Amino acid sequence: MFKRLFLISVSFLLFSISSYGQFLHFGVKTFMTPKIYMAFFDYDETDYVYYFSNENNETIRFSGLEESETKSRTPFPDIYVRYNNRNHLFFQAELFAMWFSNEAKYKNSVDFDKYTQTFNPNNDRENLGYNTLKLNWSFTGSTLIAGYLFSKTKAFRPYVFLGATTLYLMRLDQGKFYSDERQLRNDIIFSNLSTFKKTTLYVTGGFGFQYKAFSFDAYYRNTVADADIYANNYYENLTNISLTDRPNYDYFDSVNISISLNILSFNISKNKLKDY
Amino acid sequence: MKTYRQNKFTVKNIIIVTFLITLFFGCYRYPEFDDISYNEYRRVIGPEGGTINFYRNYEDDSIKDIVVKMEFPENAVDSLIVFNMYEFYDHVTENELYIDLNTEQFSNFLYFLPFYESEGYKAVLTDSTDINSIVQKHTSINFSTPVSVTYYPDFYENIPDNAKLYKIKIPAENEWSEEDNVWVKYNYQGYPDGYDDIDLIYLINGKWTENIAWGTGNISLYNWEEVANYSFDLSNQSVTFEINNTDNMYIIAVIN
Repeated sequence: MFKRLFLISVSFLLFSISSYGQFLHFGVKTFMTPKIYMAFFDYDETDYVYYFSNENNETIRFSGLEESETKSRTPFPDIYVRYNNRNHLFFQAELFAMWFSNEAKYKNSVDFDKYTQTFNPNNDRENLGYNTLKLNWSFTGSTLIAGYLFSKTKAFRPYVFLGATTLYLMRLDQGKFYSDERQLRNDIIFSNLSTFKKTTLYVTGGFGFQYKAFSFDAYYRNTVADADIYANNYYENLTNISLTDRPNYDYFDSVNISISLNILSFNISKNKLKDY
Repeated sequence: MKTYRQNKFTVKNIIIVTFLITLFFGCYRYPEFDDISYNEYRRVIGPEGGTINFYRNYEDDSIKDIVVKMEFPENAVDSLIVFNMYEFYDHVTENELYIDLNTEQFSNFLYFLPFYESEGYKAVLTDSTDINSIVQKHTSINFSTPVSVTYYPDFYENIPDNAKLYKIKIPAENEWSEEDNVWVKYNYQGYPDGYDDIDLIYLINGKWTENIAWGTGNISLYNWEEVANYSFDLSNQSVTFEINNTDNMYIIAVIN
């Protein structure tokens, strides 16, 4: 449905050429995400536990995602088409990709010393996933925004914008940082964490500055619908959620900064001017 | 005269945009998740019954190395219960049994420390928590119908033909006296880590019985009782028996 909406929107922009002072820009953009807020649903500590029946009676008790790890300074790719009407109002459609890593943290019932004696007796292995599990995320996304440019006569023009973003989860897997020796256990933990929705919706709003063909902006992307496939279980049946249908992710918000460059620009009303 | 020109620009860019969209979504694939059977690794059982397998930690996760298999009939327990399994071993006690009581040990002392899932653990340590303040006594849990236990001891000696299975009573809270009880010890993470070693040793060597105060008796096998029904599988080095509660330790031994 989202693909269809996107196509309709782009088609609408291209065919709605009917008045003067209209421009169409094709451009590239890159953005970074200095802050990602990926939050877990809150549970009582006694509720959110995995019991592993090994000799150490290992119990894993989740405490959420490590916020300090959830940021990315990778410049992500983005392409866009921008329709500018009468030099003030603009509409923009974007396609982009993004990826990052974070760590799900948990408490382990086994003392660290005992754990390493059991699973790393020669101290020759790196992190065995004692209390963390690294997650690799990758998304593609599309955004439709409407914005307003100020200072029509100036070269340096501020603007504000608001729109909707759709993120498509392309990949979610474990980081390769951990030793294979605990792979089966880590797989079980991960299988309980893989409840993020394939498609999630967001509101995007921000401000920026345009200078000639360049634009610099900062914006916030806010989750507007459930991010977890089992989110309804949390709201409807909080006291009786089975382990396998337990929702994890409450929301996935982010702060982004970007820089854009119009590669191709067209004065749509130019041909019409020639006609008169 | 007014002339009209074909707007080739629009057609061209529709093609460009369509191409980019096709390229973009052509790369799309849904994430694939392995279907892991968590039940094989859980140690939680409910009224519906089922099987709990406890596995050895041979440096990796290998489900073929089973220490204990517990098979719960339907309605054996009334609510969700989490089972902890422990194998207690003390070298001094083993020598004491052999030298003073002519008793040879062919397994560790097996026992269970269950708790109701709804209660969870007593506490999780914070930086300011005094670990000595976290105390819990042995809680007796009875089963409505017997639970089958198969124990695969990994002892340094194989089970001989003349071995027998014995049980050693763990008194319930305040059962023998209000002053003396079996206490749960906690690790530095704030989680239970089996029963207190000294309590277990005194139960094993008879220095604490229902008639003798904690630690004041002489070495004996007073608390030992042969299990009524059990069967050894010497080819697999295992023993199968039934339990009605979690109030006992179990040991494979030869009393000469």
